[in-house]
Amino acid sequence: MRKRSKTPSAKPQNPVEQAFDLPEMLHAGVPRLELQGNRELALDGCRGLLEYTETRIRLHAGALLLTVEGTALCIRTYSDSQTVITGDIRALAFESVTA
Amino acid sequence: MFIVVLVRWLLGYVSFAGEGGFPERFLNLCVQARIPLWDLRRSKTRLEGCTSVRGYLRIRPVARRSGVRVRLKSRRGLPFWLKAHRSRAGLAAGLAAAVLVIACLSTRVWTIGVTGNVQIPQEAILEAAEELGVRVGARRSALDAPALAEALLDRLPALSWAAVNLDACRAVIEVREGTPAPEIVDTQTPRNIIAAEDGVLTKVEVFSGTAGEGIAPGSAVAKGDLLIAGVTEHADGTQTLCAARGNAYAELARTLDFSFPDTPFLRLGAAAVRYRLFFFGLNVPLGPSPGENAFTVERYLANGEVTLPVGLWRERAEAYSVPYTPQDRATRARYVASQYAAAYAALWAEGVLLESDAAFRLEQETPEIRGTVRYEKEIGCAQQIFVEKISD
Repeated sequence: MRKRSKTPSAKPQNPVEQAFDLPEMLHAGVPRLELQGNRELALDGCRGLLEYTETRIRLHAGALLLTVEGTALCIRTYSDSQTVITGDIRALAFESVTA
Repeated sequence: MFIVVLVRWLLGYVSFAGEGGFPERFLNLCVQARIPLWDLRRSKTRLEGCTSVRGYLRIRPVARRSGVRVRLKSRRGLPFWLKAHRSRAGLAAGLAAAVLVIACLSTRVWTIGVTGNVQIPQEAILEAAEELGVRVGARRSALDAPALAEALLDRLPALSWAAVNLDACRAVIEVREGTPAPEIVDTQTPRNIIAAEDGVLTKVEVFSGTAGEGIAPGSAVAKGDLLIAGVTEHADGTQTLCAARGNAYAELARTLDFSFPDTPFLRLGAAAVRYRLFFFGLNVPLGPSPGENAFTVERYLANGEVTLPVGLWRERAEAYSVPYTPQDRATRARYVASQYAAAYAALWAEGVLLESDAAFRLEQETPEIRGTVRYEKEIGCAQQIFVEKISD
């Protein structure tokens, strides 16, 4: 029995996409993050908010669970298309979503 | 980002606070319900944020499902501001009127300037431009700058070049004056030089022709005497005609007799004044008309460079109808002296003053100045020789 890989990058790519060298970011379920220093984080592909406190925000980002830790964290925008988090970001942690 | 803030303010939004329940579930349900949220802040016990007006109207069921107690903190934006100031209709009307006035005023010319003129008065150029349609309050779209420049050259032949430049609400007329052609001396038409006045010749310069008989410095001449002849007689009896040219200077005497007149003067009897307000082409009289013989003085607001189309005109009509005879000696003497000074200045403009022996008697009851002034001036003037052709 073949072991299924737990990292999103090991998922077998569509042969058409592989032939055209399409980046993995276009895959459904793969979030896109844009970090400006440690002050602003823009996340595309957020599916839900799991935890929200002043020092910790956990987000369900498709195939990943994203944890943002810091101080004075504020969600500037929260929608199904984009989530923007501002504040003093100290750490980012990624966890894969077990099937 | 500013656009987003502006649009939210224009549409209006509210800020709310939620307590208790499950804030994360509340936010997720809001997103599922397409309720826009922004500026979310979390404290230990509360969740604060902002949403649109429509979003807040739909937030109650979501809050109930997640157990969050939501309450309104503040309302912000243009709709709420208008509602709070709806009794101030004048404010909106004034704002609308201001926008309309500015939009209308921006389509017209309000200041007209002239540059480049030296000899030609600015008023003459402005008057010609006004006849062509360049005036305060004219519509900019109605002004054809190239055509106006050409028309201006036709109206003012002394100009060699003209341009009308429209810059926002200002029209600048640039001109260049032409160099006048030198006077062409007529050397073909036969003519004599005769004396225009009586006098004693001091200098005779003959450039063309022959000096008249007896014409020399020191000889007395009468008005009409031949000074320089355009007819030259040759030894063989033939005559040659030419255009006599030259200068003849003579010493003349002029009697200056001035005394205080017996007839009374007329003093200012009544004066009527009216002001007119000039405002962006509108001329508003501020009183009854002063009369037909009124003269107008125009004053405009200006900062030295730009003259605004706002000002005050003063029309004044004066009637000198009160007989008046100055009694004090000083006033009488000043009058006589002013008459003498004016005549003296006029003589200086004609020629060169040589001698003056006027007697001043200004202390007496009837002041007077009497005397003779001798001066030198050019007295030659051209007289055409009419030639009749005899057919063979």
